[in-house]
Amino acid sequence: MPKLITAHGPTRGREYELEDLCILGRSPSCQIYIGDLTVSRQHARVVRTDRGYVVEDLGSGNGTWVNDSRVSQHLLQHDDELRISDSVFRFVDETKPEGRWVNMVTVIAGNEPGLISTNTEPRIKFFETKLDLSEDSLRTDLARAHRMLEALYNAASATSSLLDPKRLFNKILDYMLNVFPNADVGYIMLLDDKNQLVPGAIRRQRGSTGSTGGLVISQSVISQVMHEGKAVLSAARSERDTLSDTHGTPASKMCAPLSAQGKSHGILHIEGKPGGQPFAQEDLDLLTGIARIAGVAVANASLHQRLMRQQRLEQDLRFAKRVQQSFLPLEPPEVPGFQFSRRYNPLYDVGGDFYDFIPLPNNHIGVTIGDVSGKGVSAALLMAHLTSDIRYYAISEQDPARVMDRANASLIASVQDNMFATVLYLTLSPTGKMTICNAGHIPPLVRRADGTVTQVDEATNLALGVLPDPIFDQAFFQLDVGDCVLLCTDGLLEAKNAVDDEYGFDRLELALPSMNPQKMLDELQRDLMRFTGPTAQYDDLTLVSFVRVD
Amino acid sequence: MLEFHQEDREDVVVLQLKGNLDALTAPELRPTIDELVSNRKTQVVFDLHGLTLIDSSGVGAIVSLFKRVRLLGGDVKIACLTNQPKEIFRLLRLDRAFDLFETVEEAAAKFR
Repeated sequence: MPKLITAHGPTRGREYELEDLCILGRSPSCQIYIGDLTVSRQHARVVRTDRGYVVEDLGSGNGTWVNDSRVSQHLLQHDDELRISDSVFRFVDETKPEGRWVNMVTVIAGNEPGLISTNTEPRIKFFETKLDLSEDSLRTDLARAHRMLEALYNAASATSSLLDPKRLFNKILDYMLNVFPNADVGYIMLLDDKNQLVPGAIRRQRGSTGSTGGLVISQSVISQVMHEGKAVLSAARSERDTLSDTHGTPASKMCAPLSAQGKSHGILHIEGKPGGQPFAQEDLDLLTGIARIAGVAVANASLHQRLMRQQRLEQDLRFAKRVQQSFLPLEPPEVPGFQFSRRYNPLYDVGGDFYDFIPLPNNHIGVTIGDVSGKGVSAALLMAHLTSDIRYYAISEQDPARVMDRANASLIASVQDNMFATVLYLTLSPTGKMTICNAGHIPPLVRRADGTVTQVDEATNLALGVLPDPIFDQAFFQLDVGDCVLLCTDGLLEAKNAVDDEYGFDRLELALPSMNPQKMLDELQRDLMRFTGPTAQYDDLTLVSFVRVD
Repeated sequence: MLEFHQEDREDVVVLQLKGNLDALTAPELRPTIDELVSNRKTQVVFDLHGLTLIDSSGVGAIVSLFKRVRLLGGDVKIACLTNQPKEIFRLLRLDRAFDLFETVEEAAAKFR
């Protein structure tokens, strides 16, 4: 398991094993808690990705540094030094050989020197076709066939049940080194998403004295193996070779495709001991057979891996959805003077929209509607953060502008730098006084009792999470009995129909005929459906409506 | 579709964006933003003349660069907003965070 080892700082001497997600910061809830005031509460995180472990700065004040460069995101390599204020951690990844030899694979142009033999089929059947009836020869052929069948059988049983790619690769290579005692080192190279061959695993024979210069492989070999599906043997043992004069000759190499169902997933490459006995045709036959079995196991493992990732992602999303919905009020509140209604239609399982009703002293009530940037889990977490902040500040501050001011400061301090939120917060008194502060959100619509509709363009302010200390204005309105207010997210005005028209303000005004908030939302939603038809919507849609009553 | 082009004018970097800057294309801008920050190129003008559409992820990308260069003492200025992006900047009241200009030259001149 890769680790962060503290080299300096308050956590000195401690080691942290890295799992899927690890947050570093001053908040005690962080996996790596750093008791240092110059460290942000959630300062940085280390996330497991397909490529490896990536460190990301979480919008910290003093920055996250890797090997003395400030980073916002960085793929950690073995031995990287991660610095946060005065704390220094060393990233140790012994499990990933790529960290050490990813740059050690050299592809050379042209032909492999001494390339003499290729084949596509293991010649398992050779003892049937080569009918040499002398007893010695028959015995040798049968012994070879037996050895080959046994090796293939063992390869199949050793690899078929392993689903963890790393363990599988190591197992395949260990098995190869065992079957070919004159092999010195084995490599597995795999095709990545971009169809590039990348290192998968490397194993050396116990007590290997061979060079550590890495894998040198020619383009022609890759092409024959990957594209033509042939196994390749170079610098092979020839009839003339004797054991005594093999010193100084290039190491013998074999390379075979890891393929399954006609698709090449990578290559299996082994190199003989320098000066050792070179490989022969029968070795290549055996390697081809084993590579074929290993190819199926590799394909299975990679499919399994993809399914697991997908499952984990879906689990994350389900969890985030639960968290998020627990922050949304189940029922509109009952307060004297107002009736409320709301609609919440998240487009994705987890949306960035939110709304809230906050009971305040003296029968006042606070109403929030907002939209955080982005989608999915990060948007849901930001939304949860913001909802609880606003609830807290709404109770301690009377002015909506002050509430927004404090929510903004909290947001700036704690989120990634590309996230922000639009929020409209207003308070209502039992006598109909509405105080509103709008941070970058779509202004509310007020439908007066006489049927006129106006948009409240006052008290519009910068969205939250952009500047550390912007000025927030607020404005007052007197709502009379029968006046109805509609709050929405941009899902409404951005809703598109099949000819790409947007729903728009004019149509919205016409669609507000009712004085009952519930009916108003019903009619609005029906009109929206009529407008968009079957066209898929791009954004969440959240609506909150209320009317002043006697 | 997003096309972007970076032009260094002495100490000022002009980033010209064309097409859509949204959830799909904003990640394409990320490496450029990271590079500007790590090279300490902190005086940036966005030329948005050819930008036809922006969404919250797109605004997030610009805001991200803005926050990071400000920490380094720099600034981001916006030039040539039109159509939908102009409406979004107005709605989010981003004029309270960014200086907006009619031309790239005016914006770049403010850095000198």
